[in-house]
Amino acid sequence: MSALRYYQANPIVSCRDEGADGAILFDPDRDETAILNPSGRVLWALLSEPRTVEELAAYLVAHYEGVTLEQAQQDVRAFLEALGDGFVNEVAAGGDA
Amino acid sequence: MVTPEPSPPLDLTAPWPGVGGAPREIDIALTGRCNLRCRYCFYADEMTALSDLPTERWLRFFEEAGELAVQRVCLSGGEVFTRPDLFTLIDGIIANRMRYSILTNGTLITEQVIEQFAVGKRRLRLDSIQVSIDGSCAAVHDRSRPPASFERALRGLRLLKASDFPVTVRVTINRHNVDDLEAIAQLLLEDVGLPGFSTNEAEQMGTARCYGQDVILTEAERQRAMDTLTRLNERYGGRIGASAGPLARARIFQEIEQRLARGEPGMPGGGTLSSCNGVFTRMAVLHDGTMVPCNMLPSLTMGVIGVNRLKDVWRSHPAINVVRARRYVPLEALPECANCPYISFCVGGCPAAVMARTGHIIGRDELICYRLYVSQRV
Repeated sequence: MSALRYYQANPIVSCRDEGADGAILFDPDRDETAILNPSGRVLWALLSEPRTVEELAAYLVAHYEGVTLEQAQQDVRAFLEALGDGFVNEVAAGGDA
Repeated sequence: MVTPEPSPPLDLTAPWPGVGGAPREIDIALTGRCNLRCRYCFYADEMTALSDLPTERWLRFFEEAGELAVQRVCLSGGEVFTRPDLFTLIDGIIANRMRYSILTNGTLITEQVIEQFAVGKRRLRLDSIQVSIDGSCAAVHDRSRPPASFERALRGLRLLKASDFPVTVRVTINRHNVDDLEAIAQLLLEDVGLPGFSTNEAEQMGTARCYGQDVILTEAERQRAMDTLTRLNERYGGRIGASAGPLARARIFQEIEQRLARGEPGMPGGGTLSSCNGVFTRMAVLHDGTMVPCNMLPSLTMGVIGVNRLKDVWRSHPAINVVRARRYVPLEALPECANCPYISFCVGGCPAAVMARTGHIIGRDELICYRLYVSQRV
């Protein structure tokens, strides 16, 4: 059994791009929205598949100049915590909750 | 909230800056059929001239809207409950990650209809269901509608309330109910027990073009309604709402008077035709699939669903961009606003009302003209 925790976007949530400003998530079941900045929009796209914090952080390090792995992991955890359950769910590695 | 650009886009066929890839909300007239013939139905001209789309066309459109992350649709008609496939369409909305609301005359709401909402996420995704009630009794309500409408609408309203639906009521103020407002408020807020209701006013559109003299308020009646609704709203703790009509007018004028009393030079957005903001977040589709900037601007056609892409129409069609561009028109450029001392307190009013009265999209709505109001104050 893996100790890694996987996260995935709730497929019921829609994401509308708002140009260079980022995007707006909408959960129609809970009638809740969340605003994503451009880097949050990138993470959201990655979360269409089950991802670990480490995978998401590694992506940020690889694509954003001057970001350390430690900082990226903190940012990813903060991102997941801010969105909370409903927008992003913890899932098994195969994708099931 | 969309921040106005510092200068107007010169090309009205280019994507409008900052509006995103799709509207957040779409008003959809699902049908032109109605079991009533109300004397001030703004949609009556379209109902007789256009045909309903089949189920499949709507379902494909909901897929397109869902892919663009449209968040909400508001279903109206005609009377939505005359569509036998209504719940199939609602399920299509739900499947495409949207929420919905319904505008209805309430007369077709039965126990069986209520039961239909229990299936799947139909209740969960329902924002509101609005019933039209225009009188405290049949003698008033049915003056504008066929006989027995009141009893059936009230029955539908009570059923929805008893079943704990997110039910609201819209009262359209007209000549028949302008002196019944106190009794209407008592019925809706005390007897039925609604948390609130909203009001507007019969406009010179649809059937009201024929019956205008019977239903459209005179200025004296409008001012009486302003006073009555303001007083009732104070009594009921702000439970009466309005985005148009006498109560909205009273609030606009009250704000102007308060700002004048404080010596303020104007109000935000004042001095240009900066209302309405609706075209930056929502648009409408008529029951034959014609896309329009607003369901009260049916002549500004922008293409047809399934033929023209929603995304392209929303961002780039000149018919919606010209309404957006109104905000760059200074009121001082309008002959009717020349030398008005209140120009910096005015945002021009409803474009659809202007269009209905004048045939032009550029102009000020005379019903929210404070100078005119002061000159006609009873």
